Amino acid sequence: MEIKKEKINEILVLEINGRLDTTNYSELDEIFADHISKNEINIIVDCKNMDYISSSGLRVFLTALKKINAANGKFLLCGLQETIQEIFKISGFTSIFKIFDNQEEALKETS
Amino acid sequence: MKQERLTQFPILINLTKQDNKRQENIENMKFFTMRNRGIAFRFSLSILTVTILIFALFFIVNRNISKEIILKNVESNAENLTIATANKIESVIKSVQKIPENQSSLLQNFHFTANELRKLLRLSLETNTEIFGSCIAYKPYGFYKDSLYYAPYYYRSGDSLKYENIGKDSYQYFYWDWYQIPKELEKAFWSEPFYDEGGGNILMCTYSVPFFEKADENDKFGGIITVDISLKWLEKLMSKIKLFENGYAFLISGNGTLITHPIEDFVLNQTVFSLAEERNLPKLREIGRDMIKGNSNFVSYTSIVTENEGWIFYAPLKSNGWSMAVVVPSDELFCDLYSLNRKLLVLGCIGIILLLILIILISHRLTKPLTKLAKITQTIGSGNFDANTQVCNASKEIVQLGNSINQMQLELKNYIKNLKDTTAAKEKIESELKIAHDIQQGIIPKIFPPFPEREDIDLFAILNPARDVGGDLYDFFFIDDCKICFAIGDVSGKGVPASLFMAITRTLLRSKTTKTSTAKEVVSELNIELCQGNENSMFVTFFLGILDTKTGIVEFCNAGHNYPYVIRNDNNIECIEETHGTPIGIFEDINYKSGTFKLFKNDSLVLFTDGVTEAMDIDNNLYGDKRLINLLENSKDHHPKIITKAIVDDVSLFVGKAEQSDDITILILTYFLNK
Repeated sequence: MEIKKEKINEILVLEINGRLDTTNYSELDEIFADHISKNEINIIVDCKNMDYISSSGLRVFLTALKKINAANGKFLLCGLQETIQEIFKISGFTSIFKIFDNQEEALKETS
Repeated sequence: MKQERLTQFPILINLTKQDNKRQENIENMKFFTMRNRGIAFRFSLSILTVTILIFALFFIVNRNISKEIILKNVESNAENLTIATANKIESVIKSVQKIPENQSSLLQNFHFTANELRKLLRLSLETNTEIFGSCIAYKPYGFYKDSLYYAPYYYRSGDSLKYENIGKDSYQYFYWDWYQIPKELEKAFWSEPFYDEGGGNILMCTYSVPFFEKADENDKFGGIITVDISLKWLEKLMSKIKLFENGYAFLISGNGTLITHPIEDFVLNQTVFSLAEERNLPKLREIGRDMIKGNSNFVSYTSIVTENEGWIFYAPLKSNGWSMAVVVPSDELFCDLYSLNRKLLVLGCIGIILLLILIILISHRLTKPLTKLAKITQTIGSGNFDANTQVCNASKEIVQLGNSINQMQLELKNYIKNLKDTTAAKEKIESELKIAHDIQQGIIPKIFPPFPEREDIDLFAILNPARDVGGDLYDFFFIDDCKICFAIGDVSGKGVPASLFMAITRTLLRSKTTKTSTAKEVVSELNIELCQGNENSMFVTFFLGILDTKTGIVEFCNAGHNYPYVIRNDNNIECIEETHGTPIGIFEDINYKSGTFKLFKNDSLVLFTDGVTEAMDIDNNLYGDKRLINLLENSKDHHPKIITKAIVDDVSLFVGKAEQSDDITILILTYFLNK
């Protein structure tokens, strides 16, 4: 897994490439925790190149969402691949997360 | 018998002794070969090789140059000697030649009486010791008109001189070569050496000069004057010539006859050519030819006398066409050189042996501490970390090496101690994990068939954790006579945290389910309980169903879990695509709903976790729903255990050598309908 970081208009955009599973979820967890502790609480996660997510990965998203919601920030997901959309749908996560088709739309939401 | 045994003992002892000795020898050899390959050996070998090469080069160059110098010296010595001797002989010969020549001019101009002739001859012998005899041989009837012969001849006999008239019927001198040849040639002639049988009866050589009588205008041939030279005299002169111990000189005449030679049998009996023929010496023939031509040279030559290799120098005697040669044997020529070379070789060998000893001593001194260090490291390697790595009498580098090894030893000691501690800790954790695994497996129902007395349903479930303990769970129990509650769940993550969360979930499930509970009530209550104090946002995807075995209706609540499949009696696969909310443990305030579906006779409900559909092979391909559906469609026997086994087998076939990535849990319920 590779994570690209970018700042667009004070919003942190993370792009996840590859698989997010039990072997590397803590890496992403630390990145979220780090930024949230610095009060960078507007985060967009672009998942267009994320091939797989395990339940550990879902938990990382969930933890971040909870913390950011508590701090009145915004945690948005975008560009989910079909199989991952399916997982989100089955697990009912679509009702918890704000999910957008692509980065542009997610950015619009933050402005 | 007894005696025989007794006598056998010493032999046995001897044998063992021999064996021991052999063993020792073998060990010595081993030791040697091992040492042979060591630094000491290589060091000695390379230095010795170079030294020997240098010495050999020096030796060969020295030998060749010395040989050349010696040969040059010998050549000039032999040349000087030969020329000096030749000159000596020639001076004698020339002085001898003058006598008959003078006599010839006297006879031509004056008339001598017989007495006067005898006086003349006697005088010449008295004044010239080199002359053995001298004769004036008149032509037939040349002196006395009535006498055919007249040849007065004086010769030496002991210390006195004797006179004889050699002309007689038994010795008709004018037929002999010494008379004939100079007469015909009308000039002086040196005869080949010969035995003068009629005259001195000894080996001699004759110089013959014709004399003429004055008559009118033309001079008429009068006779021959001869002087004889004894070869004894020449032999004495030649035998005085010595070069080294066995060097010698010889003379040959104009046609190659040996005039003097150390082997007396050869004299007059052999020519150089006959010797060359006889002994098959083409080289000698060549030398002989060159000598006769009047040339001089210095060439290699095999001595006839000693049969040793040698050198020969030859030069001509111009006045009589003879040639003289001096032979020097090689071994004597180079005798000093050889002895010097031998001394050099011995000295060289001694030097090399000394050098070898020195090198061995030095290299052993260098490598001894290394060998010691090698032994020390071996002890360290075998696990003793208290070895003393101090090396005495060693060079700076080796002491450093010793210190480094000591450092390594200390670090190894610490490392091994740490390793032991961590291994012990790890073993403890592992054994605890094993116990945890057993406990976890213990809290889920494991006895199958679980309800052997019931004919309306059968159920089978399996949980294969990816690690020792997993985060999956399943459970089933009757809440009253005809309602069975069953559940499957997947805790986010794996390992101990997930397994703990799973244990809590399962315990809560049992405690929250009552006879009157509906699926959505149980799930909602579980959710509220799990959300409390859930700092780590652990969650469980959870499917809970309650089957009324009378009706076949399943009331269920799916909290974010995989959709289950129903295998209908006709092998049609139905997917229960309903989600009633997020996984439990996330948000307290979620209102879970529930749904229903109906099972008919021989329908099987297949519940599973994503460990099945997301099982991966080596290339990270997922097992997938399609493959699962395909498998289920083709299941012939609707028996939960058989279907479960089929799924597990197919998944492990698909995964192959890849590591199991997630817990695999399957729960299958088959509804047979109450009779």
